[in-house]
Amino acid sequence: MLARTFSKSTNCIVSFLCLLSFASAQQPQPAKKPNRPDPVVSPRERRSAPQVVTIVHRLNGIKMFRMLLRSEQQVEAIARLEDASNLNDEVHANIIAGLALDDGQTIVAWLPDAEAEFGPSIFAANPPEAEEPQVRAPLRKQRLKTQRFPFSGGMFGSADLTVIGPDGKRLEAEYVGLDGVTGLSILRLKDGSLPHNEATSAESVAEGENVRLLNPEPAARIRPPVNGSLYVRVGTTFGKIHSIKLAPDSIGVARVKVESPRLTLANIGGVAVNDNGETVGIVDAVEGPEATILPTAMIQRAATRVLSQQASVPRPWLGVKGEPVAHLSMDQFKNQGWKFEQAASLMERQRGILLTSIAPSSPAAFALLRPGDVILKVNNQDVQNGDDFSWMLDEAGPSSSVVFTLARPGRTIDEKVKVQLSGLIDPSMAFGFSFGFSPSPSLMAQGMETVALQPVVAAQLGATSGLLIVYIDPTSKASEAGLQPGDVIESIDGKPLVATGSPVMAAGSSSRFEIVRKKQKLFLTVSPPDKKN
Amino acid sequence: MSKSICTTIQRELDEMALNEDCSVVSLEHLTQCDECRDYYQKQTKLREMVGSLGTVSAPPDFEIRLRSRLARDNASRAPFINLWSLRQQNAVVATVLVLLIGGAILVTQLIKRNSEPPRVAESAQATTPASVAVPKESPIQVAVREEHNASNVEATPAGTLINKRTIASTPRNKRNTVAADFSSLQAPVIQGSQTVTSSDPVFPVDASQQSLKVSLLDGRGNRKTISVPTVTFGSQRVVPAPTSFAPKGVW
Repeated sequence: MLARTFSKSTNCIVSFLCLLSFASAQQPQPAKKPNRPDPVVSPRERRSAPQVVTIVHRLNGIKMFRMLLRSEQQVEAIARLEDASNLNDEVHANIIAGLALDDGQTIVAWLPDAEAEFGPSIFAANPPEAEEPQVRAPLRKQRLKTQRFPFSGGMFGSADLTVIGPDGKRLEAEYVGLDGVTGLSILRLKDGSLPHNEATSAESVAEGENVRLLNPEPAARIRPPVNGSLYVRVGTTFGKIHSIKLAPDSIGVARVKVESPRLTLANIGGVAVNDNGETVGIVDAVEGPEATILPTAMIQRAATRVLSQQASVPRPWLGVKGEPVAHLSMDQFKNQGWKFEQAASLMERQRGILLTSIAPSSPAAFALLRPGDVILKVNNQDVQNGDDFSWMLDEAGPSSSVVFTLARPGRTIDEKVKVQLSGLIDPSMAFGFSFGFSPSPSLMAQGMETVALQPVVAAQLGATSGLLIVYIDPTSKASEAGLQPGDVIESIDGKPLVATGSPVMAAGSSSRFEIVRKKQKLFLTVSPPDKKN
Repeated sequence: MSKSICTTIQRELDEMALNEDCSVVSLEHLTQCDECRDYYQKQTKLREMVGSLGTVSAPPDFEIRLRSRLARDNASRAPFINLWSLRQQNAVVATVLVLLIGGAILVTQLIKRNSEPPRVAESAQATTPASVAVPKESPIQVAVREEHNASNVEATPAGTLINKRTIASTPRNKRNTVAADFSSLQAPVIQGSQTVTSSDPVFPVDASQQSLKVSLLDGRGNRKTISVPTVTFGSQRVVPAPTSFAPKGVW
């Protein structure tokens, strides 16, 4: 009995010991000292990037109205305004990274609200004045010169731009112009300069290289010093260079792609630097975990373009919409009039751009390009995809002539067509884009953009009704007469204004404007615009 | 800087409640020691994050449900013990012995493990700790520093259970400027490709106190009210627009 009991007990002990050892094996092992160093690189081992600055771009109430009118919102009139005390007061600030170039004076940035600073002519297509061409020959007679845009500054004298250096030093900057090719804004410091930076651009980039994307961000945990203010610091997102796209003519880097799991759209506009603190470029797109970087060479060229003209520089404008052949299906070719054999041959070659739409009165229209044409080459260089095509046009520049090699439906031989490019800041404007509001045509012709006010809002501004001027061309007769943004036009030649479609100005003669400015009534006489304009 | 002083200060910081002030000695030490200042900031940030989660109130029938559950568990366990004790007395004796031995082994292991320094803390020490802008650097940073300390003292949550091993670093690439509920998210862990620095200079920016709020008529009799944010960061346009400077597929 005793032996049996002992045997049972022994069995139990052995079982429990087995269980215990198993349970012990499941316990986490004590931490051991790592054999290799932590992969995290100390922040002190990375060099700072003094060329990265913070830009504060401020917009007042009237500029904000202009942005609203150009937004996706459909605007017929302003029905209510919470505080109309002073529309010239600042209501919004955009804070974004900027790149100080080596001279310590020039700043390059991707300002999202740059549009608020321009006149309408910079966005509108400016087709040649010639009539619709019947043959290709009239192209030579048309005036397709490089446009020098009249507005180098903002609509209220200058843009409200503050540059904050890495040491917290604040400097005022003026807006020089927008580079249409890259979308970058070029600024110059008004007084003073940043520390002179020498050789801050990376000489070369390599796949797998570490990259830091620097963007200003709110320092959220610090209590704001006064109401409405905030603290800002330059935040860092870490990534690695995933791939490098060379330019089609192999003269340099066209784009650098960076991968990081932490990327957001807020990284667009950020400055990318390597571990040595040298500039890799500016982020111009983010898609998922991948950011596209505009390399420093292209940034330098953008700055040179704008600084040499001291004004905004448009991008080359052809006036076509299209799709790379490599992305197309047979049905899409058939829809454009292609026969099966020809289309199959093109699809096999996997190059070229199929044109799907031609903007009226555009260089493409004047060169008699048609939907269905496939652009195979530009100046005898093969076009592989849309990026290549953009690059080649950008290289050619606005107002230049290029020779396209075209494949056309129903034709067996490729054709060569010479096209004189024009320039445009925003090509999408040429394809029937309309603002979310209906600007008064007669006032637009006078260089004014206006928005209708409901009586309640007009009363807040001291008027009975009327149109609020949100933009005025500084070179226009209206500006010459003394009209200003923020004025409310109550009547023209005694005819009251209630909607943007209502004003009628007598053609060829002066008009008498009854306006309200700071709740004071004024009468101004505006001469008719010069015929040459 | 003596390591023992740092350890003492960091222990004090660990035990400090949300709204509690640092001792004078600690404050003085924090102005001189980058490592402790970094530690203090990380601690404070973590406490603020935990504190911002708020308290969760129990459902009204929680107590009743708890009591009934305990009673049910006790009732189900009792017959099992009785049965066990009646039929397997010898085995019980053996089990108790085994449990005692096993317990002793486990306790020994735990003591051994606790005697080793935490791994994350080690790596944090191995990498040079980030420094924070100190008052002597510039007048702007002085103001920031003072404001920072004041706000931290006011905002540190009390009574939060913090695992020291997770506070070696906290995420700084926080992009959302609006309040967010982090309660359902996994605690962020710094990976090889990311790190945290708090050495970046912080500077104040005056933003508008007046936000634009406007109602627009769309031409079909509909009214839409739009409130424009006073501040945006990065390339985000203040209002979405149908145009872009470089649209795809348009030349």
